[in-house]
Amino acid sequence: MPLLAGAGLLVAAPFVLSDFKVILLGEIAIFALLAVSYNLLLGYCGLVSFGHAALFGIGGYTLALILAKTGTPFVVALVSAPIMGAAAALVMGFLALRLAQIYFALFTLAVGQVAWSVANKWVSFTGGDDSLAVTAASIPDPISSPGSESLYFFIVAIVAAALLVLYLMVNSAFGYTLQAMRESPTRAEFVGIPVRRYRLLAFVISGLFAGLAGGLFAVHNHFVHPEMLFWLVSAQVLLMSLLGGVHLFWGPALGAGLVVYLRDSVQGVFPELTEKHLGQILTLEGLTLGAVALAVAIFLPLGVGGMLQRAVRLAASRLGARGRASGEGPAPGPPAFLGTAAAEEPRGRR
Amino acid sequence: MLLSVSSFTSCLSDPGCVVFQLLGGLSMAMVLFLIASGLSLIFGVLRIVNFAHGSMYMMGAFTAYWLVSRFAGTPGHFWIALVLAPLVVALIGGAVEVVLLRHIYRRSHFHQFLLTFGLILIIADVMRMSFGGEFKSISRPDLLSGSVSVMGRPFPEYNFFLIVVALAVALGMWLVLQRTRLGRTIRAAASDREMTSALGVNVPLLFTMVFALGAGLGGLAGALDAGRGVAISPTMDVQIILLAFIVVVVGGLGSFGGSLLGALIIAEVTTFGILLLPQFALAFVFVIMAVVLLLRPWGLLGKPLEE
Repeated sequence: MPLLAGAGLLVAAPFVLSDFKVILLGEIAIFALLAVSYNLLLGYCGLVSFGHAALFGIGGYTLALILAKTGTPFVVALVSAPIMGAAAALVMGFLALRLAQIYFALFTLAVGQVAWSVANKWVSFTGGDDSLAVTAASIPDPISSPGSESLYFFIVAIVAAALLVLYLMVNSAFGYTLQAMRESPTRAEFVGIPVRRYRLLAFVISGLFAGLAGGLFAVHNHFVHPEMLFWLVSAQVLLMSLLGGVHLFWGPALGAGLVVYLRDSVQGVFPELTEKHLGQILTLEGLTLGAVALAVAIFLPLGVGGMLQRAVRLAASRLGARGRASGEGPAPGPPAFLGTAAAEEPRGRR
Repeated sequence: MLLSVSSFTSCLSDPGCVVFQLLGGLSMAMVLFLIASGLSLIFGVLRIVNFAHGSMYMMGAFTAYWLVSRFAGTPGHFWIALVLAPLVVALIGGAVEVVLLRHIYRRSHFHQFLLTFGLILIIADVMRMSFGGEFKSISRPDLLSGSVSVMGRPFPEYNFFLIVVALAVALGMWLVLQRTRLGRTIRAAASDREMTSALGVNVPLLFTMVFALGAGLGGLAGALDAGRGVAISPTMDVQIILLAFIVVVVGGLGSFGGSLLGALIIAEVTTFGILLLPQFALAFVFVIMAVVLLLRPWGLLGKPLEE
């Protein structure tokens, strides 16, 4: 039911909201996909990567470069974005997964920054800091204009399909194996699970969907820029995931929505400060997101989603207790999608 | 052109150019060493990878800028700034440890990364609000504004001063770590936190001091670099933190000597790499970092971490 209601809202949204808000919703959808793909590593494998932005950017640049430099049809360019994301993830993951925890994080940071340097400095190929345009002419007509309903539906439909695939995946034997490995890699190894191969598969799938998100971003924004690959974008995706809750499949999507919405709504909040700085754009984005990051790290280790889940469970057990007392049957379980939570307590206290 | 072999080989065939480049690399190495040793010290003792360490460097530079403009008329204003700026940053660092970091030592490293990332964002915005986003710079102190001729090329006196100060700090740090009671306690806490605590050391206080010291080293590097005429802006934090990571990874996270060695390697590779591959010198040092992580994750002079 809540899923249907959500779908209904998403379909109705472009007819109700302004073009500007529709663009914002499209961006939220793209970052939701990026964050959920990231969480395959973070939440399900317990690995922090700072190379996710590079995979996102590689997807975006793949699409933009194919459209700008060749006469290839749009569909081929769109399909190439996730393929290149997965290929890059295969290389990055194959090497990175030899390393544990902090070294893994630092290695993905280094490789991601190599990719960023190439996008930034190989000006003759990528356009460098001037960014690379995805012209409206190279995109099929109905989805070529920003803020249009058809572009919005195109983005949302692809993101929804991708999320569905990811959802089925993490609720399959594969997803449970990843979680078992996260809880105890040694034990998983003992029962015969090839831990590295499973993690590499997760890394490649994560890269596939990050590349897809990058391709969609390029279509949605009509340009790609080296900043897409910069490690701070990976850190923002980390913030989205932890803010929403990494133990829930939908948590990172919720976090992405909150972060993108906050980022947008703090712009122009303090016009007097903007004036004081001689027309310089001062958005307070850093202060806002920084404060959110500190709050999550210190007070909300389970994220907003984790807190909501707890509240729902608490309410459910209260209702259940009263229900049993009055003979109304067993306690209603939490909604199915909340059941994907792996653990109640934050990990890493090992 | 992507590759400029000619400028590289023509420099290598001229000893004057080689010495000049080596010296330039050395002054860069010394700044990197100061930053990286703070980062490495904090990791060694607190086991926190402090992504906000570049922000300490940036605060050092901005504080120096502010003090220099504040005391513009006073003789020796640069020296006042150079001494006070690191102290201010150390105080801020100590406060950050007490108010924020202290709560997350037992959390997963996800949350530790997230907290220091939040600090980066907040500090950059505070600097932008206080000083504006445009580039600032301070001029070198009068005493050191000249140049020395090094094999026929003018080399700034200030850079010699910078090298000497950093070496003195390195020596002082080494002496403190090796020869004093405080240093022994720090090393003990780095190798076994619980045992050190059980022996009656006030570990929370020690952590605050170590974080403040690390932050102060970053602040000193920022102030020294500001005096060299580096452009001071709210984006200098994320640029320098990456170099600092490369240095500590190459040298070994948690290793003091490793920071020095890593800084020398990375600075010289960058200085000479710019001649050979002007576009990709930075990409190249990231490749070095990746290769070191694969072959020897604990770095050249570090020790493997026991989990």
